[in-house]
Amino acid sequence: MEMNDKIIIETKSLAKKFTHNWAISDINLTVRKGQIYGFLGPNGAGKSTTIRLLMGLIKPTKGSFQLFGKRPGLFKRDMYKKVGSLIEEPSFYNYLTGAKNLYYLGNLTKEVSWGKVDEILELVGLQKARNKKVDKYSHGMKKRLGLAQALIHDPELLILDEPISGLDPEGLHNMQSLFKRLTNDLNKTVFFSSHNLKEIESLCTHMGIINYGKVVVQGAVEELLKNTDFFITEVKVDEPQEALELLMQQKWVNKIFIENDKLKIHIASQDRPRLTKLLVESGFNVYSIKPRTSIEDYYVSLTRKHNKKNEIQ
Amino acid sequence: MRFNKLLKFEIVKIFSKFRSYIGFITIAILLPVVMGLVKRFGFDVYNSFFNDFSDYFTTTGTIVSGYLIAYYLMAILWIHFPFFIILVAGDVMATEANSGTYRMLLTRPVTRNSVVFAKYISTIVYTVMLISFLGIFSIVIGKLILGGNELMVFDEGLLILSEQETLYRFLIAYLLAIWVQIVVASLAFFFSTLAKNSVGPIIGTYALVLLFVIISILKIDALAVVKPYLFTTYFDIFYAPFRSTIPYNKILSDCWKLGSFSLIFFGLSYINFMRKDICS
Repeated sequence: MEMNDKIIIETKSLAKKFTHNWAISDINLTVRKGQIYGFLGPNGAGKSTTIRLLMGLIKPTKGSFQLFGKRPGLFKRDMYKKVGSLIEEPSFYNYLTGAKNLYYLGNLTKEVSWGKVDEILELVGLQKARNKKVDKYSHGMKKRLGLAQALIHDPELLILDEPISGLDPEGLHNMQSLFKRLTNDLNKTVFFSSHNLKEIESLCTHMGIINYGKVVVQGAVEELLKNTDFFITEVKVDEPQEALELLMQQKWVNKIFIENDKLKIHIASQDRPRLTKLLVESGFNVYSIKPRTSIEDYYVSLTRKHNKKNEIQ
Repeated sequence: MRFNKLLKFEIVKIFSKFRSYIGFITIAILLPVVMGLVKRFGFDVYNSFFNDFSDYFTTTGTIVSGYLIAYYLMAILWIHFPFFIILVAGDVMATEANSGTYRMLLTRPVTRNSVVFAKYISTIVYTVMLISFLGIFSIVIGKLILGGNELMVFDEGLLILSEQETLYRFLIAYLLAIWVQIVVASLAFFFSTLAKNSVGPIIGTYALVLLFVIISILKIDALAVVKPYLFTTYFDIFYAPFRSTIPYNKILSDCWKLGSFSLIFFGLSYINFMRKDICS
């Protein structure tokens, strides 16, 4: 995936106060072209508020933000031509068909033909339901239609708020496949929030963790996890000590130790196939290789630390 | 260009809902039934009125015509008809807040400015269409069922209008009726920007219109002070074209006042919508 230095989203000390409570404060985010940026945080952390601010649905109390290097305003929204979004649960005009919803919404951004509508409905697997009124759609179908309306005008940036929450396992699988295809094949810049930590780990190049309305940490997923004790692959082999000595010589192994007769190895996730190959080719009997849900541990540790800090304050 | 698409979309949305057709259906059923009943059973109120003048006039045949009934049916523009306008205008903004579709609409590269204008214009388009339908249908169906004739109305005296003059006066009357109902639509539109569902704006606007109409027609001296500030005081302007001499100056003056009310209601809607945080 091609990435360059062009900044697509930049927020500066962005803050929003609702009546007496600060929903978010001092949010500084930078998303560059080609990144898949996962915005992670517990419920009520401020993810949706940040996304609503970025899309101009609510106005910031303090701070500012830019999209594609331009600052949107009440009368200046041209930069949103390049943005496709899906915020929380997709809501459509239930009395219109799925195709009509897409056609009219899409045409508010750029010229969209009925052919393009059919093409995008095909992509999200809703072609058969094109002439059904949206109130007859299931939850999963509405989610897919939500993604379709975000993609209909071929945007450069996708801003998605909890795009896969509430889906059944099949819907989840379909949505994940579709999402991967979009990000990998079409080189979109994607900013999305999610509760699903594994999804962030598997899909994102970059991430930011938000808690109590503040960004706790952000950066490249690999970089962030490399510096923690949570990025571990557990390996069970017949000769752990000998395997340890072999692996210590490899440059791509950051750290390695033995615990309960298992090798605990700090490596990047893309090096796992290499690790398996090396062990097998070196004659070790490999009983199991378990990548730990490292990001989950990392996330929990960070939010706990942050919660404690907030309690003390 | 984008505004035209937005406006088209708003009009499509209005005419995709059943509620938008209730007014049209009611008119389409009510008018032929009323005209048919008049044809079958006569129009006693008017005939008995003429009996009082029997010493002065000799009448042959009937003075009841389609135009006369169409003229009488204009009375529904006071109380009953605004309901159909409010039903749609009160829903235009609130329903988007309620259903969460603002998230879809306002995340597009369209300004709120253009959204509120498109929604207001589409509401006015609906109002114009509904009133025009009432006007045209009542005259056409009246002529078909009861026949066209001269129109006799009572102003300061008896006014007899030729068929051509009658149609001209109806045209002005219905243009004024549209102007009046735009005020009602604007008020409902304003309430719609404040609410998160359409029930409140619909009931609220209708209740306010009823209250103001009652105050406007009550001949109580104490209420005379407030009457100039109520838009309903100028509601009867659509009857003005049926005076012996059309009072153009009064019509212009009242139209200016009614226009000001519409402008104020739209202005308040605009300010409120531009400042609104979309949290639904």
